[in-house]
Amino acid sequence: MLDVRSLKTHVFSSRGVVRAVDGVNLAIGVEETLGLVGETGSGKSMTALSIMRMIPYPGRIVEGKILLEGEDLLTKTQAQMTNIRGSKISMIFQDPMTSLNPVFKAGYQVSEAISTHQQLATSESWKRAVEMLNLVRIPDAPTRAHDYPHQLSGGMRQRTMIAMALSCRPKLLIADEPTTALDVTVQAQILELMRELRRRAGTSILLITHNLGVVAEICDRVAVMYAGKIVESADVKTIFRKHKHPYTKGLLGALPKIGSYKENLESILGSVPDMINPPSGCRFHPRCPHAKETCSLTEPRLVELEQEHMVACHFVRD
Amino acid sequence: MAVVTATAVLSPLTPSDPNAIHLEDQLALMTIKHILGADFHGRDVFSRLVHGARVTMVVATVTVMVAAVIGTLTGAIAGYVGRKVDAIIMRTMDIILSFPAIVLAMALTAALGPSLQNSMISITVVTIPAIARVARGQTLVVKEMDYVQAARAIGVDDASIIFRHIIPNCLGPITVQATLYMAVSILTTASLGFLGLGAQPPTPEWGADLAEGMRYMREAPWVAAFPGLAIFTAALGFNLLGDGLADIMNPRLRE
Repeated sequence: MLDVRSLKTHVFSSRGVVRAVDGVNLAIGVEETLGLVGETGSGKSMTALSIMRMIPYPGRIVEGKILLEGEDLLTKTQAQMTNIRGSKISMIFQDPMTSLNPVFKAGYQVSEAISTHQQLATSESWKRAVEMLNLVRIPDAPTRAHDYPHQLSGGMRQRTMIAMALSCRPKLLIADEPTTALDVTVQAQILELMRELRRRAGTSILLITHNLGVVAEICDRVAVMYAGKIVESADVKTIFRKHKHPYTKGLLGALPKIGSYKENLESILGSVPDMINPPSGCRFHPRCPHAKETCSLTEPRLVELEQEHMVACHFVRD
Repeated sequence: MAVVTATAVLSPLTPSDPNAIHLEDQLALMTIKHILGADFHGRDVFSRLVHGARVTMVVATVTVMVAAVIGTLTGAIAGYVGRKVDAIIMRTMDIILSFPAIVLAMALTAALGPSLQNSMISITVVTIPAIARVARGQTLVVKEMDYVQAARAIGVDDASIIFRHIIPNCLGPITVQATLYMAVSILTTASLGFLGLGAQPPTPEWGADLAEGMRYMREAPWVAAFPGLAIFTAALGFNLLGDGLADIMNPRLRE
């Protein structure tokens, strides 16, 4: 469905070239949910914005292919992209508090999404908007549609966002940390909603998150991203049980487990490297507990360990 | 401010024609017949003030409105599109701003020929950059908001984003700025009138009346004093209104 090949997105800042996304390969099947996991600054959001072709200046996609149903999005003009956004790929953002325009009614914003892609009478698109709000389980949608964003709770705003994003039945929904800003109970509701809508509308989802709980909850496959590269990808079970890459291990180790008591959670030492001068060889080697000399010299390739389980580490067999 | 507006609206109801000449009342003192006295031509100062309010309000409103529309559009486009377009638009605005407003307005009016209409055109021109700057600054803030990104992500085109998402969210500060510029516009109108570049006699206009009254300052100070007072009050009123609006729009003070 979506096939991203050796995508490179660089940001040409005054300090130098930031290699935010540096050769990423991703594939998402129909109705599949792929979780893209990584620390802040690992390039997850830049990957998402690249797929939307919404990289802010001075960033630029320098290389790669983004195939959506076989068509390369990178060859499209801006006007064609505007048309594709919303109707084929849609995106929802992290903070529902600021993602709705404060001066318009919730219903209007959903109807705007609809009328952008379809010639409809105002009353007709309003009706469709109310249906969408109903679908995302906003109680009493016909009345709530007349509310302004500040009258809605965080969960309801995120539901409105989802309604907007899905109103034209896109093939792919990119969700950039859709639950991070919400209460835990509301998070669960939103995830449940996304799962249900995926089944109903047959939408594929690219879920960007650093919350591994969310990943376990909803994703089919997971790609772990570090410093602009995918370091491991596999189906959810493999990632949680048979992960190979030390970074994946570190991420999972930093997660508290119910039922086992630990004095300190393990953390990964250091922080995400400066992407203007990324470390030589394996980019994780300065923080990796198992790093040997080769790690700083040659870059490990992404190798297929088992069916669909890709790892980029020199010592993957050990 | 409210008094000035009300006066302007109700001006046709005043007792006497502002241009009616009563030679027997030349420079008359304040009496029942002329409650604020009469000028050199025996015209009623009060009537001229009241009708002058109308001229002033029309000039101030029209110039600021037109400037606000043009300024908002150009500023929003400059801020949204950025880079080259931004540079061209804003440097043009800077050129206009680099002259003192009143000097440029005078030069423009003089070049176009002294008349009320030409003074309105030049006041509009010198007001545009002030509005455009605010609009651009606000656009830069608003365009980074998530809802603008979200609108782009559902395929809303640039023109709709500017008109539906950016401009409505910029209107607060622009309104404040425009109100403050009403005061400036009133002062500039009066100044141009005073210098003989604005409203031409016998149009009742405060600045022009003030200039004429100046000549009889010794014999009849009221002829000059009242138009001056009117200009002062109107400008002060709009300044206070602008400040008040700024306070109301300040989110920290709201709710």
